[in-house]
Amino acid sequence: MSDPRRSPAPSKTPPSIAPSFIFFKLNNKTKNQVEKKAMAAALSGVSLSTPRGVISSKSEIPKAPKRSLVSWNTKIGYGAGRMVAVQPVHSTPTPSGISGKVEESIEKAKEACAGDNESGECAAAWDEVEELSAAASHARDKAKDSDPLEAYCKDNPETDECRTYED
Amino acid sequence: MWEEHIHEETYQCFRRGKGGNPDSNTLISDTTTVICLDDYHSLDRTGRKEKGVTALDPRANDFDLMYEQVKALKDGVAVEKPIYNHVSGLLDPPELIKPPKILVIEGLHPMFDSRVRDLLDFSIYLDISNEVKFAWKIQRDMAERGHSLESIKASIEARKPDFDAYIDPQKQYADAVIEVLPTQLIPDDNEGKVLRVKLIMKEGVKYFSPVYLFDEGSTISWIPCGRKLTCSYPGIKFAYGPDSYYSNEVSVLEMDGQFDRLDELIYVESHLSNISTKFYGEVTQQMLKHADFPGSNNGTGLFQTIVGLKIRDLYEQIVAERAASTVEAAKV
Repeated sequence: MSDPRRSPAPSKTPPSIAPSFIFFKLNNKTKNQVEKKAMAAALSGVSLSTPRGVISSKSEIPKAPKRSLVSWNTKIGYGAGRMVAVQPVHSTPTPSGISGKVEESIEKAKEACAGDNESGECAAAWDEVEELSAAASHARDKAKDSDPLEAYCKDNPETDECRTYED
Repeated sequence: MWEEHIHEETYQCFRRGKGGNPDSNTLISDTTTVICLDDYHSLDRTGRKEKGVTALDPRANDFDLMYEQVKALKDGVAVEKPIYNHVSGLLDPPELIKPPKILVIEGLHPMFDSRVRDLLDFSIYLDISNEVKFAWKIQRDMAERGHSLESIKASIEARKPDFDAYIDPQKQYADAVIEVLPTQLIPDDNEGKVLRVKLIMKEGVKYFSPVYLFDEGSTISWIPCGRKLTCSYPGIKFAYGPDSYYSNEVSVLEMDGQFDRLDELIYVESHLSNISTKFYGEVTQQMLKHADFPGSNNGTGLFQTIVGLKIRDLYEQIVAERAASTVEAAKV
């Protein structure tokens, strides 16, 4: 095995050295636009705690990290993101039909629980919210799979069109 | 044929076309059919609302039909399986499912009914801690219109009594449990980004030999990062040892932290034993294949990959044994 210290460390891991930053893709431009950017957003929002030893200065974050051979963390995933005060931007919007249903179900759940929040009706109503939220998430995944740019970048992550930039 | 089943509370079953073959596990996907147990809802969304029961409640599910159809598939008979539509909340026209080599059943109640349970050759339960579940749901739902921290919290809390009563107890029956917990590498971490993941493996399960680290049956704590391997913050930590789980004897392998580089993964793989790989580096290769999947760089990805290898191994043993007994029968 080669000595890992000999080669420059792939700088793919700003989130782990600087947990007060989160990386998410801003892909709200039209699909035809070939430019795709990920943005490092400094979140000055509520932070329950800042782990010790954190490098929180913005200048510490590499400007344009190259994708390493192991392209971890290039997509927003289960583990990415803060628990608090984060409004993740979905790169692919939820199809409007499902999106409306989610919103409507939340309103109904609040109503159903207004009288008694331990009733079966209340639980069933929030269960519907969960079901629709999961369905919305799956619909977004599906839409992403059918996005030609996403598909191209999956196979060609090193090309200019698919580079992600930070700030 | 054998079955494995997965419980997944945080995410619905993935559907990728008819008779869904998820591409999530390339080790076995060409021989596998996945069925989603939500398809056995006996009450549709309106019915559940009228009766005031959640989908987690056994009363909303048809276990007789579930058992009949899983049994038929295991016996090599095709079935017309209902399809539950998560968007409309209604049952769509059924689809024909032909008996596959490997049948995976996934959903909320794979181990609830003892008849279904007894059909399974191997079972897995994904046990997501409350902290991580909350973080994942925020990640999933916060951008959704209408959702807020309060609505996400309310939804989890409203479903919790049924979850505790009907879903969580199933983990005692699982042959492997994957527990997903917050990290201990970062003091007071509440970010939910770095994870500590445990793979709890039952001892004495036919065709399944638990993975171990260095010395089978010993208790070991291992930090691979050091002179030979450099890791970035917050590092990687492993633990391994015997334990008991719901009064069953188990082996537990734990990983805290995440892989940032290829050499870390290879280094770890080379120190694990009984991983049922066919060549050196197969775990690493599998994980790289799925590098764009969430969790692919931490214990969730590592342990799911290992479980995938174990399932392939189990399948091959069962097929081999069946072939041998056929030859034996022919001799008589």
